[in-house]
Amino acid sequence: IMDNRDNDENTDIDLLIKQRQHHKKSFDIISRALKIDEKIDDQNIEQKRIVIEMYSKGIEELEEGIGIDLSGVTGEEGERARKLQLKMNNNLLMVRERRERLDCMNRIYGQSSHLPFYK
Amino acid sequence: STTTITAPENQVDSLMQQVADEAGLELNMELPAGETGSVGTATAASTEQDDLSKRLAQLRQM
Repeated sequence: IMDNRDNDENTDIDLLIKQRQHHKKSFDIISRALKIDEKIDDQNIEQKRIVIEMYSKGIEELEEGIGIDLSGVTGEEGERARKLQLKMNNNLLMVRERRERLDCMNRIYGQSSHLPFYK
Repeated sequence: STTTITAPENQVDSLMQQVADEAGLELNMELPAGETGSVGTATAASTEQDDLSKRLAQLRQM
């Protein structure tokens, strides 16, 4: 029984670490994308494509982090992790929306896309 | 059928760096040393996600 409990705890910790790692990666790439996006020139298609690509990477990290099943993680750590999950989900929606908008702007300004960044 | 071609990761990274250089932007592809081994606390993570939310919300209003 003790062995099983140890295993469960290890699994919980693994899940929390995994979530934290995906958070970290998503934060890293999205905050760098935002830094560019915040002073982006509407007509600079190339820059927007880079930002779109960075957001896409961030979205992948958020999705992976959100996909971690934390329902079995108990205690305060579990509560905190689930709150973080909600925040990551909220940001996922916002980054997707922002990516759509940039993509839309690029379509308006016209693009000769030889590098397929955004699918 | 889809004709999407996926650019290799390093190609994307170097292109991102190139465009950033041209635009005079600091991209900083590497995580600062010392941060790679640690995943930080849940509270710090929460604060960081809050920071992203705020900045994304600001862009939405522009």
